[in-house]
Amino acid sequence: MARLKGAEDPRYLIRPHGFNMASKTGASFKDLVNTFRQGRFQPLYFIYGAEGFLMDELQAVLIENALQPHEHDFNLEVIFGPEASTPDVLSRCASLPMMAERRVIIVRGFDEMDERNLDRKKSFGTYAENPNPAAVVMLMCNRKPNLNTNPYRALKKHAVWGEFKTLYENKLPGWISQRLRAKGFVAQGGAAQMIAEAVGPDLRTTSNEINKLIAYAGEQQAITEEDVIHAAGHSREANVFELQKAVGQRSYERALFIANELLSAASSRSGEALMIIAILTSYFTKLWKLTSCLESGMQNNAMAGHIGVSPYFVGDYVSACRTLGPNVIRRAFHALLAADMELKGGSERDERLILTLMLGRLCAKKRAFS
Amino acid sequence: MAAEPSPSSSLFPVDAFETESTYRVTARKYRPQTFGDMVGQDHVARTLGNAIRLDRLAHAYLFSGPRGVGKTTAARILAKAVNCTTPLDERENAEPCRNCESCKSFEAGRSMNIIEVDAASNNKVEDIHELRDTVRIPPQGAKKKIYILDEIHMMSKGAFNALLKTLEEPPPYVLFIFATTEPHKVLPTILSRTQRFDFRRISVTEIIERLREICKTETIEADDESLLLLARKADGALRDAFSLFDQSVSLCGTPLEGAALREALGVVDTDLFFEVTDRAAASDRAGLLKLVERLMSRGYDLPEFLGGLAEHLRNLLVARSTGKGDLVEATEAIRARYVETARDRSESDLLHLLMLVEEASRNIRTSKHPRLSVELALLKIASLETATDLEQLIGKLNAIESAPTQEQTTSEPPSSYSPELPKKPEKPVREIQVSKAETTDAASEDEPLPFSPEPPKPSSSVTEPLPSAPTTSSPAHSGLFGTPALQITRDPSGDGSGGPEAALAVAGDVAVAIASPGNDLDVPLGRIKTLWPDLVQTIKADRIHVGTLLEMSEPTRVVRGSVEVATPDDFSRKLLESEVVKFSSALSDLLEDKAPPLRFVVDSSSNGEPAKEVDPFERFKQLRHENPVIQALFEKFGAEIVW
Repeated sequence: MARLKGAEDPRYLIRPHGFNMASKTGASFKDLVNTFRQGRFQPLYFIYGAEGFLMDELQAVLIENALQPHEHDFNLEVIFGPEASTPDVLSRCASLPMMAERRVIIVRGFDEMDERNLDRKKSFGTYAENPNPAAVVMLMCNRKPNLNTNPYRALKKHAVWGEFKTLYENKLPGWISQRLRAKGFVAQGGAAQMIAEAVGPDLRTTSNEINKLIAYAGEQQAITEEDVIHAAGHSREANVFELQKAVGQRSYERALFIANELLSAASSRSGEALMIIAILTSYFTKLWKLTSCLESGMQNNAMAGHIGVSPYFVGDYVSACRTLGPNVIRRAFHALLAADMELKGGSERDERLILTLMLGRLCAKKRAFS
Repeated sequence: MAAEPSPSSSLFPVDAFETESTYRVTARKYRPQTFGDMVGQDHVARTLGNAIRLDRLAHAYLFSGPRGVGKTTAARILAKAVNCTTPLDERENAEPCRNCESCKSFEAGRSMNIIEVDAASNNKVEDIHELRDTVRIPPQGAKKKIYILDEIHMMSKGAFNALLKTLEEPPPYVLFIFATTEPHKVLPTILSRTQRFDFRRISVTEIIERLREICKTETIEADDESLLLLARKADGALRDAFSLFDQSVSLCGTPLEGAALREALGVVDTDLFFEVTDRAAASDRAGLLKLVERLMSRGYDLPEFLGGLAEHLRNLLVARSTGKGDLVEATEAIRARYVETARDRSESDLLHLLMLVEEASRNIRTSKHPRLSVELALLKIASLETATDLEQLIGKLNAIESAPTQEQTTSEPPSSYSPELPKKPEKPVREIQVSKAETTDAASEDEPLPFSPEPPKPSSSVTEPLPSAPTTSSPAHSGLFGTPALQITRDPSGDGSGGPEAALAVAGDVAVAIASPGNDLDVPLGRIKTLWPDLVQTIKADRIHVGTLLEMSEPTRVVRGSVEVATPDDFSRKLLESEVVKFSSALSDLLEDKAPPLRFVVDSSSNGEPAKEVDPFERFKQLRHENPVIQALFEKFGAEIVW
């Protein structure tokens, strides 16, 4: 049985504390990982939620701790919901371990099992009341099922349950740093924030990006912002972050150069141009929020929280805000909107021209472009 | 050990080893064989090399990017490098050695462990089931069993799902490499289980470099222009560049020369675009028509010509804005020419030209006479007034202002200066009163504001600011992108409270009319106010509901000879406007004279809501702050508040 990478590391996400089965929020990922590592197993686990990556991780930790490698052949079963049926799975759950302390049965996509035969599936409710103590059964649903119906209601009542929700976006940079640390790397400067911005909230994709970054970094232990940019195939001079900076400094020539480079390297020009507009819009939205923060004389850290960037970057934003001034920032939205509309079929112009015009307006000092 | 079955018939063997053929197309002959050979994808080469060297290989990779940038090539190199049997210490950056049995057998197309599948033709569930069966069998005499699935986006949904399970729990000895031009068509569940590499388009410089190397090896002479032409035409795809190169060599022969190549590729010459802008600047209409004739006779594609012209104008704009030619994709000589030419043009002129070209490209698609559209566009371009003209105009106006006139006190007959101002009938009409120059250096650095040289009509000396006066926007200022995306929401009340929206609009959309000096005192507003109840009664007697609405309205002020009547809401305004003829005749009867025209506006103060008492000076100050046009009026034209 293949194991997922990263989970074997003993430093992985451990903070020992109690694990309360009856809590309203259910068991968290950390709770479960801790108890598994301590060798404490319950006969039945019921996990649901959208964050499939954590389920993969949990599965790997469970297998690693509950069974010795040589016990896998006879005592480990990973069953895929859509391909299995209730009687078959129940009979596997009821069977006894073979030359091992326990059996491990993992059902992935439990919600997709016997979808058209819910009556049959209800037998899991009965099993939940009286599970096989010699087995560790983990039922995983890829989404939140209707918990008011059986067997889910019974499972939630009798089994150890947990809900793995998608991570909030503001928690992502922290998660990335932690993950890098667990693999023996350090995220320097705003690298973690940059990965989070570039990849988005899906942990599995993020984890893949982290692995890619680690491979890119090779022997070096620190991951810098530059590495993040390079590994994505952008050059140090030409990437959206630099474009943002150039616009913030009102440097038309530089912004134009970067936009040009980005477009000529992009696989889909209009896609890239739209991405640039999206990033700049988010940038200007932050600057717009910042104008009121600056007026009210907020502290840097508070401002960072308010506009949703890492305190590391807030200085850049403040200086951009001062360079551009509220009027330019407000006018920028008009240019962005117009460019967006043109790209989405509002005109016959090519992307490069649209961006040239847009940047001209974003960077215009004397409004020569409007 | 059981013998490994040969790849099934539905699975493609790797490139058959070519021994008989003597000629191979450049793209295949020079297909990179190591990471180091790859062009423009350093990030991929480094990451993959490190992953092999440090044993950080993922179990599935997805290579995405446009065609011809090296996705399949990278997949093959990776496969070769992973299975290469030469020890890693002897290979720099884990490059495949190309000498061991594994590398040789793969290059000869007889490797058992590297299986290349064309997912476009093996896109059914059964094909994937078949593949899954072969996945179970471990590699024979190699580290990994590698599946290269090309064009994976072509697989059916069922096939994707069938593959998903294998991807979720892959045997440790399997490595999947997917290549696709359209990653968005791949199921997200598959995407998230792969390590994804985005291949970038290859830059023009890199393509030129590579072509030059090949020319050297093949002893083909080619000038810089022809290489640039090929590289630009290839649009970031090296394979396309190679194919074009092959074509060009067989079509034009050697040495490759720019002019012949342009002819062969049907590319419009840059000189021609320069000719267009030069002739346009000289208003040489006949020359432009002849140019279109030439285009047609040479068989150029007209939309392509317009596209090229837009690109040319963009280059001029960039050269003008930055003062340098670095950002123009052209040979050094052409860059210098752009900088030279752009010096005499103003940004607003170039923007205007771009606007016209854009309009023409839009028309040409639907037009039955594309040639006519192009000719019209070029004629328009030729008859365009340049911003320089307008600047001169402003200069003249300034001269008039600074001349010792008493126009502020005794409104001079406008005819005295109108002959100096050339008539520009195609320009939109704006009413601007310039009373006193606050700044005498009405600099022409900023864009000139379109304005009307028409003399103001004398009517009354009372002037009013009218922020919501009707507007017409000149093409040069109708928003940078043509039709403005943000339609300005005009405040019907006319009190300018639509402030932020108005300020968001581009300069051309916001009209500011400072009323012409005239004699509004001729209008007997006081009498009309006194007679208003009588008028209401007269109307009520005839149509009671109209009368009631009229009762709720009141005449407030005189604006340019017409009486402004404040109505409580937009509904009343519309209804009353439709009856305006009746009111006028009734009012004429009451006044025993010709009644002045009535103008209905919505007034928030009669709206039932508490009206905000705003100091007009304060409000104007705010408007001036928010609205760049008003600001410009103050700074450049020396406007001042006169009420």
